Amino acid sequence: MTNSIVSVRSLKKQFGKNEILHGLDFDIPPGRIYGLVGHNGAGKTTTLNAMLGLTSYEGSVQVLGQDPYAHRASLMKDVAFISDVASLPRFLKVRELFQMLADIHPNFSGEKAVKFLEGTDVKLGALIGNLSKGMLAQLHLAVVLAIDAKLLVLDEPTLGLDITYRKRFYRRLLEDYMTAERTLLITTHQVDEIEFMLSDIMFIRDGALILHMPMEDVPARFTQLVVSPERADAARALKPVFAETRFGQTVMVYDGADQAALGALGSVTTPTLSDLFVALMSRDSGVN
Amino acid sequence: MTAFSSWRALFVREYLEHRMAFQWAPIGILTLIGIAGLSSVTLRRIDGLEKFPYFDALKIYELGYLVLLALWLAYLAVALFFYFGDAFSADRRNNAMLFWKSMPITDAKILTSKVLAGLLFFPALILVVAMASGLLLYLLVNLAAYVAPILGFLSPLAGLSAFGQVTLFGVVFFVLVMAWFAPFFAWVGGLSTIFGRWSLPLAFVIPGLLAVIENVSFFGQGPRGGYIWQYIAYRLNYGGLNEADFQLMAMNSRPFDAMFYINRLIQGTNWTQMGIGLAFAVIVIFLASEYRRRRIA
Repeated sequence: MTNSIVSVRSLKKQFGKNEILHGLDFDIPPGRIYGLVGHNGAGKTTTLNAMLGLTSYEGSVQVLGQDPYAHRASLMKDVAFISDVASLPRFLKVRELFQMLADIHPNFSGEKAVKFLEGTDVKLGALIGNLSKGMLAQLHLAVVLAIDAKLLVLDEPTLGLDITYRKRFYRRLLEDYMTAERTLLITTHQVDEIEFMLSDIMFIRDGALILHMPMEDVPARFTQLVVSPERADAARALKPVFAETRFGQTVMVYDGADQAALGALGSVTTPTLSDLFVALMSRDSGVN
Repeated sequence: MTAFSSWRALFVREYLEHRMAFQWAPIGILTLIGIAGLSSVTLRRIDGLEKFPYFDALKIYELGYLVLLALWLAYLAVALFFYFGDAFSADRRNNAMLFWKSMPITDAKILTSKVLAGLLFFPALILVVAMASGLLLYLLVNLAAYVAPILGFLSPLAGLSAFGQVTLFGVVFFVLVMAWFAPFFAWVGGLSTIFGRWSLPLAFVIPGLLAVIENVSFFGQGPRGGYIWQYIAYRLNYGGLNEADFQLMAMNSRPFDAMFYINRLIQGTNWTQMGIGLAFAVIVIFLASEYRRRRIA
């Protein structure tokens, strides 16, 4: 894909003799909101680090047409990322941080950052080291929202935050940041909370991409069937990718099955992202 | 935003992070010096000057200001040693590495800004405080003359001239000393990039071990202590001025002539070694920036 924001080919990464990424291939077009989902240690952060020029790798990674490892500094004019909300310089006051960023980053707007902080408890005269974790997240979000970037990468941005902060975080992201020209890539464990905003989903397991598709195609491909015990064997014959028993009924997830045939066996729905995550990422599919 | 503004921002960042060591602590020390000087004069604890009036007020002022410059230089050397041992690993220790990696600035530029802040900006701050101590000394010398008229007053014109001459010499001396010891500070900073604050002892332990290994391997073949030890001992002593120059400073009855001593500094400096040292510093900082570029944790 020639107009991709991100183009990854045969991406491999080794730590010592241990291969973490086993040759990933994917493209991310502009204007999309991507969710990269996987277990701890699946390779999400390593993939993001390779895209952000933070680590070396084998294969080819192009972000906005540049090799991120060779040109990280230049790339960061158009790429913003949060890998850890606790990484802001703690010895600065908020006002000093904005002034410094205005001097360092050509696409940062201090006025926008101040505007994004309105309505929060973060004051311009506050020392960053004295802010709570929630305030730090709000401040860091204000910083990246005030950067006119083409690609925003968020690696577990709400880790450790309570539900109020998390919901506010994603709402502001969607309302104040996303435009047709911007692309957002986000990783999180709390897949339910970002499902509503995603346009595309990528599942990574053990360093390999096992699912990469637009969210709008999920209902056509994946089906969840709730079936009574007496019809469970018939449902198993249609080869579900996952099965589990909940409250006396069997829940099965199918990949590419005939939905009409499934409908005859029980209640058919589209699996939620978290159901799909459990179905595709579980080492024990429960089918047998 | 210009290329200059990002450099300015990085210098301001260093200043904000380390202003305690290079601004507030020196101002605190200066205040203490002022209080101590005032109390010694007003309580007439200057009997040494009265009993042995070998020096007039001008000489007392010149020598006093030179001693203050030397003391401030010693303070600067210690503060810079800890600065280079700390600043190069501060982002990693403060968990701020990922934030700085998200900025459109190279690791080489960040480390270069730290080196330039350490070798130019902070010495300039200390020099300003040293100059303030020179002005304070002028007031104290005249106050002492008021309390003990035998010392004689130092006129504002003579005082300003002496202040200018000593300051001019001090600026050149600071610049040359910083340039001479740049490789040592870069060495501490480079080690700090890898080992954090362990760089402080390692800066001495590593060359010490190398010297021991050389002696064990080639015992009796080289100069006393070995080539490494000889070279380190030479590099740890900036030989811009010799003992005769310092004696002349103390005993010369004529007013302090900055240009004379600056010429002595220029003649006494080993410029080849200065160049080698600066080249070593550049190489170390480049290697440190490459290490930092490859490491995020």
